[in-house]
Amino acid sequence: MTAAVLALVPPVLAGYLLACWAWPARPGPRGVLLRLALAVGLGLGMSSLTYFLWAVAAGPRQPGLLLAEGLLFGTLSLAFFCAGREEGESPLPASRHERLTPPVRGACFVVLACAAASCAWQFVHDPHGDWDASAIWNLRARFLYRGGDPGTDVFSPLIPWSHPDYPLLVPASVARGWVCAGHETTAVPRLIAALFLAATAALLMAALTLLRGSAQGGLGGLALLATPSFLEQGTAQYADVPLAFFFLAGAAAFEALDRGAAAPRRLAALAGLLAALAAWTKNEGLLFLVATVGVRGLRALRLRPGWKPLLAETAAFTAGALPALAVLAYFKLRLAPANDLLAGQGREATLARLADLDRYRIIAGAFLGQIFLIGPGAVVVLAAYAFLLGRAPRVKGRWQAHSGTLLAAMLAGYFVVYLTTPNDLPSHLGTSLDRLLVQLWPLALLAFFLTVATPGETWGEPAQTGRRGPRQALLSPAAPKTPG
Amino acid sequence: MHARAGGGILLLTAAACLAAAWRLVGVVRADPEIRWAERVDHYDRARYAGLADILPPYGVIGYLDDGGCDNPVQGYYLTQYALAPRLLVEDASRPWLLVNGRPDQRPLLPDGASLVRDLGNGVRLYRRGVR
Repeated sequence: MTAAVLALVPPVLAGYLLACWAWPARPGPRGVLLRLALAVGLGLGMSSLTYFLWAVAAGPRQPGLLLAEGLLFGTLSLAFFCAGREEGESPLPASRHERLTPPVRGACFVVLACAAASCAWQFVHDPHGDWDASAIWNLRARFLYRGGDPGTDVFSPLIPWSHPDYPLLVPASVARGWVCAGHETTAVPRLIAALFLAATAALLMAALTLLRGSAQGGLGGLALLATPSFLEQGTAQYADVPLAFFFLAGAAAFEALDRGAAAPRRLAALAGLLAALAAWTKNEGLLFLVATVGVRGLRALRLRPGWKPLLAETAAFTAGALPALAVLAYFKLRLAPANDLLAGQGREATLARLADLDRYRIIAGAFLGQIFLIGPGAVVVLAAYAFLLGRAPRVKGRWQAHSGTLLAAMLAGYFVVYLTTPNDLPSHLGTSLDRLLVQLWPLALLAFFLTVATPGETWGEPAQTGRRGPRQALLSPAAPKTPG
Repeated sequence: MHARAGGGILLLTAAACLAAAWRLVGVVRADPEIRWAERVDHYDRARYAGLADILPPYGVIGYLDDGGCDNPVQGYYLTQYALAPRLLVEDASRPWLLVNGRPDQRPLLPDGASLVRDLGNGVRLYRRGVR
């Protein structure tokens, strides 16, 4: 197991240096937290790509994997290190220095402790994860690790219930961990699940802290860690929380870009890589990739930035996405069987489903019901919170709706998928909708806390006053810092 | 405005603390999922022990549930999980046939198949075309 953990160091280090290269942030805990969180996802994502290519080309347990990876990630680390890091920072609102007071911070630690304890309990008492972990994700990892023939066995359509067309970030990461450990152990999938859970929460906190201030970051993390379904899906060893991580990271990168961060092309390239890794995690990631491109197109229509910056952003996004997309294309075109949802379409059948108004009613009802069940009732609490705090001040001429628009596009996409599904609709909704909403939950919280006013903004007081007043009950200003 | 913002933060933190504590208590007190973990472990380590040397290392194996698991779908999935990278298909006509039954049950004998191994726990392996 120690070997499996140590084997994560080179890719995570490369991920960290890549994040330093791409995402501008001043040195300090919030920048380190953001980059560490990104490094976990990037490291696991990149190493799953290299392991898959190694397994297909040389064999799953051929010696030399770690040496080849060490060379690759070492070179990448050196390249990103030499390319330097961006020390600038996006212009942040005055609320950046708001600090939650000790009682509220104490509440945050209580939530963090409860979340950590409940996850640890589940990881210990349910080492194999939930049903789909054995039926899909860890089963595919076993196929990869135990050495079935990729052309006939590993992705065989003979066991369609195991969804052999699903992308391989999680199974390849697990199989790679077993190769490094030297044997199969439940510790590896548990470690990967725990890393993605922690990285998603850390990323949401760090991104909100950088974009909207420390108070917003703390409250965003609090809301996520208090969501039972998010923790349940994470400890179940499914791919939904890893996917949620990449949704969140891709959206946050563009939010930073849109808020005037330095090095916009590097951020766009990072966003491209993250979106492609989402597509390498689950099929829903492909929808995310398309939706991201669509939302950026919408932004271009609204802001009319001109062809040059638009082309530069698109080129950087594509360049970042290309390596992972190339591997995904190889997998989808050469190895994976047809997707059941796409294979079940036909002109007449699809049109009939689209024209069936009952399906709209059923899906809308299921969406509403399931959205209410997140938490449960978290949306009601957040709605009340938004009503009380109000909306964040808008900056004229700046696109500040990337995450919200992306969230709407993803929900619309999922709606259409259900509308056209060839499977039994109620059963399909019943077995998947809760997980799909968990995938979007961190992104939804990012959009929410970017849109809602910070406590300091609601008070209408400058954050750097240092005065003692009624706001001190819940907020305290930090020591003034010199930006940039 | 102060009261509204303060109320908002109190609402959010109180709801979050309650939800987190509720989940922790629920997870600890819940009917343990240990049963699922034990079942996976049983299929993984015990139920098919002794078959690994006989079965081909990969390829297609027929699978037939004969009451070996109270949830046949679960039994099939867990068998596939245990015996990967072999492919188990619910098809009794395959040259290799694995029957997941109960030990107290009269053995099912598929047409034209000879018993290769009876593990004594309801699991029986048959083969066609071999004398």
